Amino acid sequence: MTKRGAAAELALGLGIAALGAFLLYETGEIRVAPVYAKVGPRVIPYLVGGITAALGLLFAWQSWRAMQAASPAPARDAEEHRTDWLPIGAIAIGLIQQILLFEPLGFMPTAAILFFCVAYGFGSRRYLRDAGIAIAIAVIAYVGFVHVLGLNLPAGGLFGGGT
Amino acid sequence: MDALLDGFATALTFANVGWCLIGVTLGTAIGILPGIGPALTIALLLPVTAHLDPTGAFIMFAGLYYGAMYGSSTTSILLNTPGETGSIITAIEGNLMARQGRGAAALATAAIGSFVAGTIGTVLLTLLAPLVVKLALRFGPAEYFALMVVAFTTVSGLLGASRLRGMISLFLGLAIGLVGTDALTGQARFTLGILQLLDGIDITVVAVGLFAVGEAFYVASRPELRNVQIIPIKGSLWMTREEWARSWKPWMRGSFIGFPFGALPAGGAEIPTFLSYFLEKKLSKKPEEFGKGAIEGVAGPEAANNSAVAGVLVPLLTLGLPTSATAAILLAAFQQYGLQPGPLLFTGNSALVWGLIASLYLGNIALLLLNLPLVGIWVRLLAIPTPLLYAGILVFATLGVYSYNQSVFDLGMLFVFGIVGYLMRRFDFPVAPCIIGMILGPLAEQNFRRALSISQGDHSVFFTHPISATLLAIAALIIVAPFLFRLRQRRPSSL
Repeated sequence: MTKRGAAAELALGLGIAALGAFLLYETGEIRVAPVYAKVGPRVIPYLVGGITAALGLLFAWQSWRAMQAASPAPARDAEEHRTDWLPIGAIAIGLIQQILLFEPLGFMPTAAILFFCVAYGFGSRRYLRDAGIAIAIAVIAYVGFVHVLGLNLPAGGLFGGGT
Repeated sequence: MDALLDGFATALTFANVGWCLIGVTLGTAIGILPGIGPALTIALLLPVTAHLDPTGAFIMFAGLYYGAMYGSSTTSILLNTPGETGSIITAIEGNLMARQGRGAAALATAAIGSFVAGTIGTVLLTLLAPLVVKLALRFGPAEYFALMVVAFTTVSGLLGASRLRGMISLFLGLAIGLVGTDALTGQARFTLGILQLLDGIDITVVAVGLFAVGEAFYVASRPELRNVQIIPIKGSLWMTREEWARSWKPWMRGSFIGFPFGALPAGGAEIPTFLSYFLEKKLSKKPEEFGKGAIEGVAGPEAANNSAVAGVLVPLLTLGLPTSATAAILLAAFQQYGLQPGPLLFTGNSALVWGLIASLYLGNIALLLLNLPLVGIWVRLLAIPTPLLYAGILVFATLGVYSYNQSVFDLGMLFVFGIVGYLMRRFDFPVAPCIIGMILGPLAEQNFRRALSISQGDHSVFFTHPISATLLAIAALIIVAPFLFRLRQRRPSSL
């Protein structure tokens, strides 16, 4: 493992340990009626929080040792674990715009934008074709779900009045 | 036997045959398409099926689960990327066969082997389920809790890159399962004062986030995973006499290896496929062909993964114990209908259970027809460009998640779990323990606390009941044994 990879795992382990600590803290906030004091709603959460924290620390410790052992020169497998951030960004934008715009704009426009963003993230550069398919899928999915399966989706202001 | 005949009466109604056909067709499609599996699909279908008749819905889900195993072998053989984890081994030998122009024979032995194993597995399920039900009737809360602890240790210990990663994934799932209102006292736990969290986090949100969104992030971030090449089918789908001769024994052995691994809480379809592969390599008269496209290396593992799926249904239906991610989501589907799998399901809803089991026999026949003569049609699905495929998956994923509660808050949660899923894929954490922990955790807690209320707070109840004590001892052994082995191995090498 490379030094950078091990450092990332160390951070992840500490993050998991922090999650465990947070669970332990929050467990203390659970209200317990005295009747249930013996096997109340806190027992298992304490157990889960405690073990999660311990596992996170163990993982961090292992990563720390791997980091000490790793050679500072980048190993060959660094190439294999190369991460492209542009696609992740594109997909994230697609999902976040949907969360923010779902109610004001409705399902169809946000779904079409999401489709386009994901296709772009996966390296497609045929913008016209992708946009066309995006709109078609959004419309078909909307009509299918709302009119055939009878589910509720916001139409959005663009397509005739609110949700 | 009478129960099974009644089951066929249920399964053979017009509507249920229809659900079965929809299930197996959809299952084959998602098995073939990379990036989408049975766990994700059933999770996405939960909101749609909420208003359906449960029998029809479960017949469809089971057909989907079986179908995905059939379809994934096609992808493994022609694309060298396994459609599902159970087909990793098939991807090795099967793809090599396809490269040599024997793709058709590989597809044939996979499909017929899946049929043989699926049918044998279903027969074993039919015979075994009533026996397990009889045993399970003697189980109290302490025994159920102990059984769930065994399931937790095996799924986290046997899946994935390392036990520690499996355990972390499991505890993440357990933590997610704790969020919401405590079932026994009505107290809010881990809700952070957010109203939407009072009902807990839906399995659909978590499963779709981890599987669909996390997977999309991961595959998109790795350029080498985005471009794959399809090998066209060459050769005859009719296997030669030699191919039959070399296939039938691996089919039988694979079936009997796969089933117990599915049935014991020992973690799904991956391990038996590896075992079957190495067994066939050892027994083969032509071991030199392994690694160059040996038909036994396709026949055995494909049989093993299909009979493992039948095996998974035994603990799921008789004990309510899921041993794979898909089974965990099926358990959530039962809960959605207010049903609790277990011995009482067999007495209270025998039409549903036996109709479901009977439909598996029919589904297997339908799947053989779908995957052998019609395989050419399915292969065209592989021609969908990856960007459009994943874009479509995410549109339907967000649609499905939103429609469950009509809540934009759930879309936000989906995004969060998408990031978590990406990190898990990136750092090699298995996802299945998380899903199983999330579904099974609350049940384990309820049984734990019920057992203690019955014993009036006496913790020794778990160790004085013989079945519970045995199960907990097994769980302890599973956790401790590998460390002991490692110590023994380390000693000589450190000298």
